[in-house]
Amino acid sequence: MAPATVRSGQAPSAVTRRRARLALTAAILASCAATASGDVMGAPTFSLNGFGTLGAVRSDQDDSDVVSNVFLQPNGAGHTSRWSMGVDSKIGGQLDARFGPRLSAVLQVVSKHRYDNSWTPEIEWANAKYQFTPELSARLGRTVAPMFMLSDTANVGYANPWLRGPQEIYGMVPITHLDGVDVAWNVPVGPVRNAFQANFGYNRFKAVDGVEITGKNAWIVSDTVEYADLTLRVSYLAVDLTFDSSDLDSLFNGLSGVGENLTAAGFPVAGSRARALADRYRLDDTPLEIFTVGARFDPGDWLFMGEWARLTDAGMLPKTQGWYVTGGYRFGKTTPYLTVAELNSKTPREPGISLAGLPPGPLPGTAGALNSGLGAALGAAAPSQKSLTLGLRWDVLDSAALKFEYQHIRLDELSAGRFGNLQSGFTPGGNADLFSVALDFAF
Amino acid sequence: MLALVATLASAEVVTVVSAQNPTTALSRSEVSNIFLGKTSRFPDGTPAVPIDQPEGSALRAEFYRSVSNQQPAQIKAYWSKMIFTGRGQPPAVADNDEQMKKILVSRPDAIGYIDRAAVDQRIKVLSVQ
Repeated sequence: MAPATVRSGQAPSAVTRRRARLALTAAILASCAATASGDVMGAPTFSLNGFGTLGAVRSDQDDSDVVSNVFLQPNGAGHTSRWSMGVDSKIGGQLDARFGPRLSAVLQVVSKHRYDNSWTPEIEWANAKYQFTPELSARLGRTVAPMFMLSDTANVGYANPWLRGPQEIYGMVPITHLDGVDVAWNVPVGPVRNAFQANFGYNRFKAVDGVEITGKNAWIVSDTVEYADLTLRVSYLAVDLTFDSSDLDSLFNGLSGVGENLTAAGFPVAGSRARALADRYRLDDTPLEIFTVGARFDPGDWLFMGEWARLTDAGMLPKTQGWYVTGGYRFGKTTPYLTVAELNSKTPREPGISLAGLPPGPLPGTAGALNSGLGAALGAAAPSQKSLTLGLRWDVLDSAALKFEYQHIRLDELSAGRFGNLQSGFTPGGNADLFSVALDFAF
Repeated sequence: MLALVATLASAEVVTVVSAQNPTTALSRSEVSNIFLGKTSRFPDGTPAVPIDQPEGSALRAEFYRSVSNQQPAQIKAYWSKMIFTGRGQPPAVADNDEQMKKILVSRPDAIGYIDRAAVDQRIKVLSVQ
């Protein structure tokens, strides 16, 4: 389309400027749309989007902290300070690039309070996507690990109904992304949409307490079926998990070492027991599996969501089962909601190395200390709790939502629940009351 | 001014395509799926390119309310989810009814929505049930 001409000696009139702008917009639109439908290889197009949360949490607990993830955040609200803004606050940016009708790339960087107490931005995603057909695409690089229904947008508060995803489910796995490849395949059956996704990859990252977590040969396979207002999802994760830290190394090497000493000192049964404990509870390329089922039903102004997940036991991580159900109703711009959730871990009652019959000296002392160390590690790894959450989402502006949540948690007897930064005075069990407020926005 | 008020008071949103487009009718869920990026085709298999009106406009709110029963904030949250999981970008935006018509005329595969009063012979109103 020819640009509007300017009569010599005169500034372009408002009408001609508008015509020029319309012509230009239409031309760009035509070329972009043509690119999208595969007619023309256009120049790369970029778009930048961002999201963030400004939040504050109050916990009534004195010897532990509320954290967003017990593996990834070192401290939060409670013992460290009654109110904390570090738990939920975050800011993220995403750059999308399109190189023609089939190839695109994305980079997402997020800054939040992380394992080393800093806010250093981290790359959540960096991948290139190739659309083979409208139904089949593959991505290479760092992609999100889609464990649960809203795992993809775990960082984007604005996209989620809750202030914080129920920790019984969303706190189960510290792995948020995988470096590898993923494939997405849509197979619609009439009005039923069916999306199948498979991820394969690897992740190594640092967690709290000097632990380095490695997930190798991670497979995540999921299928999502949507029909009208109903969505059903099934997913499965298998990974070889390793936890490395100097504390854990001392514990497990200590157990193997005392095992050898006991055998050498003439106590082969106790000795082999000690070595067996090290092998049983160490996480060293240990296979872990998670199976989850989720459903969402949102007819009209109602919202119902629920998920259930089961973790097999792996090393010192016990067999765990959790679920939540959320119900909400939209009244104009506000959506009050209620969530009931439960998490059950089979804490092994581990007697440890039998001290009976050991001669006085260094051996029973060392063995006893290792037994306590093991008991503490197993206890910290076994969160069991029930919780009730009352929340309100208020879409105060078109791109910002204000959320409030009150949560009452009942910890099981031996459990520290999803709390972190446990102090020496911490006693497992008991009840906790949390209050959170957050402003979620997208731009 | 009175004429403008009268126009706003009687604004009725209709789903439209170019007169060149063979489609005559779509279901609400078919229109909704196209605008939410869940499908990029008309039921007959030809490509469908959705064009939105500006964010915050009454026509846009009314359109999404009638085809998908959702409020603007819900649509925004939905697109946040799509953008931030790399699954898609929202439709291109036309500034107003006039620009919408220009785009539809230049692209027979485009689908949009305008005030019924703005419909002219270049544009075909789809029957949406």
